[in-house]
Amino acid sequence: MEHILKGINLNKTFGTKDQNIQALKDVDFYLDEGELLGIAGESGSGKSTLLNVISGLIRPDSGELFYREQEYTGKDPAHTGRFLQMIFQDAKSSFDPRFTMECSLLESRRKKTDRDALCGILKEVGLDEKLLKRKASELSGGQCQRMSIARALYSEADILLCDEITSALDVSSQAQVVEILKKLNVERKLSAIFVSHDIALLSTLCTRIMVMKDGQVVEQGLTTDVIGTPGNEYTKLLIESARKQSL
Amino acid sequence: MSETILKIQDISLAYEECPVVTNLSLDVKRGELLCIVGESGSGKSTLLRAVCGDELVKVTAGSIIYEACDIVGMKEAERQKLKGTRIGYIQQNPYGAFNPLRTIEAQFRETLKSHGKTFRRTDLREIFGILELNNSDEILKSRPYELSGGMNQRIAIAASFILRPELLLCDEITSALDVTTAAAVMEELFKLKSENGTTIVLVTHNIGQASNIADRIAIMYQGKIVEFGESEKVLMHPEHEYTKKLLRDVPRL
Repeated sequence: MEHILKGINLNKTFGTKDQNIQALKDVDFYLDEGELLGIAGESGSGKSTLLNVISGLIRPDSGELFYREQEYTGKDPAHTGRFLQMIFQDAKSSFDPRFTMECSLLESRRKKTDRDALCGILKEVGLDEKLLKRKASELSGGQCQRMSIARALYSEADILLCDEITSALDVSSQAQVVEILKKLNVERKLSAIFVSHDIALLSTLCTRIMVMKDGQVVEQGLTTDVIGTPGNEYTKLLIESARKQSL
Repeated sequence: MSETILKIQDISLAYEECPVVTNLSLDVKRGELLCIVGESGSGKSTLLRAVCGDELVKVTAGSIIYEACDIVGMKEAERQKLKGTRIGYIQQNPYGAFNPLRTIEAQFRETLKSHGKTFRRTDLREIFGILELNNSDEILKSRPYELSGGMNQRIAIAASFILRPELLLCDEITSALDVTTAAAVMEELFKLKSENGTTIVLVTHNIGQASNIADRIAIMYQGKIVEFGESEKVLMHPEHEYTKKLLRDVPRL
């Protein structure tokens, strides 16, 4: 089957005068159409760097990226924005604080403004149209995060890249966002990569999980296999820690 | 010494004109670990801030009795004596507790001095050891911005613990940390409670986290306590609809 998104041998090093940190070491990944892929790992494992490389926000030192078999390595977000959209942990700062939600959302689309489509999307993410008149500072964290999902959908991207999008939310708002993503996955065949330090959360949402540590992929497989029979010591630690924070 | 260390009676709290907590009562038993669970905006943090005597929180009615003294009517100077040595407070933002530009050692020295205690490396090493902060000499020379969030949070816990408070208030202390670090911090907190007999009030939005360490759980919703009891009872036989929703919303493995 054709992968909707693929990366081969990605490397990225961040450096200062004294020390170099290799944030990505020979990372390979793929995403199938309609798949929800989870990437788990602790702070500093390279998860966010990988998403930034995929979206073109950061250029990899080496490696190749493909969207539907077409190479796009080195292309900037102005190009990649046609097919993928990032959603960030801090939803509020991803909106211009002076703009109303309406301005921000309408701006995200290259094609002609389609108000009906926008209203439909807002309904899908469970937001009232009236909220379009508000600015980011006048929305709650959960509402704001749902707005940024709506913005990504309205721009007609096929793929969402979600970077810790629920870690600033409380459990109830988190559950709501997860439900919305699941629904979109079923109804729209939405493909997404979901990065989180919380493997319990990924297990409720994703069909496949990749575990990263120190810039490398240490384990990957179907969620049931990774959670049920983890092969890597680090994966075991992640699962055990998550169990302690869960019921 | 009575069995109740903190008694909150019919309290109402507000920020300026905006009421946040109304008519809430709660008692904390000596030596227990009490968790207050609820969603963002339910008033959990406001309640803790009121106990600490935060000036922004206005007590509009009721009383907060700590060891037979009413904190609400207390003068600022008297309250200062309670803070730190009697009542410790750890906040959510791990960088918020320290001056970012001064070394950890200077800040520990200052904290101890202002509470009339002396700085001893051996004491510090012991507490750092419990919190798995190895190579304490290196850490003492560092400044907060050079350390990770998880490390800073554990140092903030150490700074509270070195004063040996009787009552420790923790406000979402793990929500800025990743799961592995959060699990470690919770374990240390539990260890410090059982070894030193410190009373701990822990505020969290994650009922899963509370379920593993709490003796009793209070569920807060829209400024009120809607359910309160032994943690087993609250978890196994929740009565309130909101508690049931909270239990459903926790991601499980």
